Amino acid sequence: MYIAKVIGDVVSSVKYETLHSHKLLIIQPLDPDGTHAGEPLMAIDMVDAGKGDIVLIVDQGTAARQVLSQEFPTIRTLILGIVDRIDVSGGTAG
Amino acid sequence: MHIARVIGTVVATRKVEQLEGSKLMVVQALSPEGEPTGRPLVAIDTVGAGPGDIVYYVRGREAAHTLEDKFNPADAAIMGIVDKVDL
Repeated sequence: MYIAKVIGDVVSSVKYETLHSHKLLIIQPLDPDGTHAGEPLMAIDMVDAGKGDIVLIVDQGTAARQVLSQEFPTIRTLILGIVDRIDVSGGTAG
Repeated sequence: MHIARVIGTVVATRKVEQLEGSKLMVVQALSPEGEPTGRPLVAIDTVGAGPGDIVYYVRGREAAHTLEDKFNPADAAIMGIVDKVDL
């Protein structure tokens, strides 16, 4: 899992059936100290996160299978939680 | 999933049977601001996207799971068409 910041959302009416009941957010992966770590990507929101939230991400199919109870998941990037605070040895971030 | 623009289609009459009947589109990944990033790739399409559409695609096994026969070799699949991106 990794940390990311929600930087936007995607409105999409035509989409694959398993996506219909989910919000599609754009996330910027972060290192625990808050610096950008890689390209932005899209994630399925499971915790009603919004723009500006620091969130916990999983990017792996079998995880999606458990959270979404789909036998053949078509989703792999999920927002699992909203981070209140990160304490990293040598300083607080996020 | 990544945002992309459909920049073309691929026709391949001779292909492995697991890909028979699937639509092959060429997609160019885009940053949320719309800048091309990385190399174009070929994704299967199950939502009816067309050239010029802004879409989003998934990579890996999850892509194969969008087809009827889940055991196919596809590793990229268009999941939806973007109406709007809010940053």
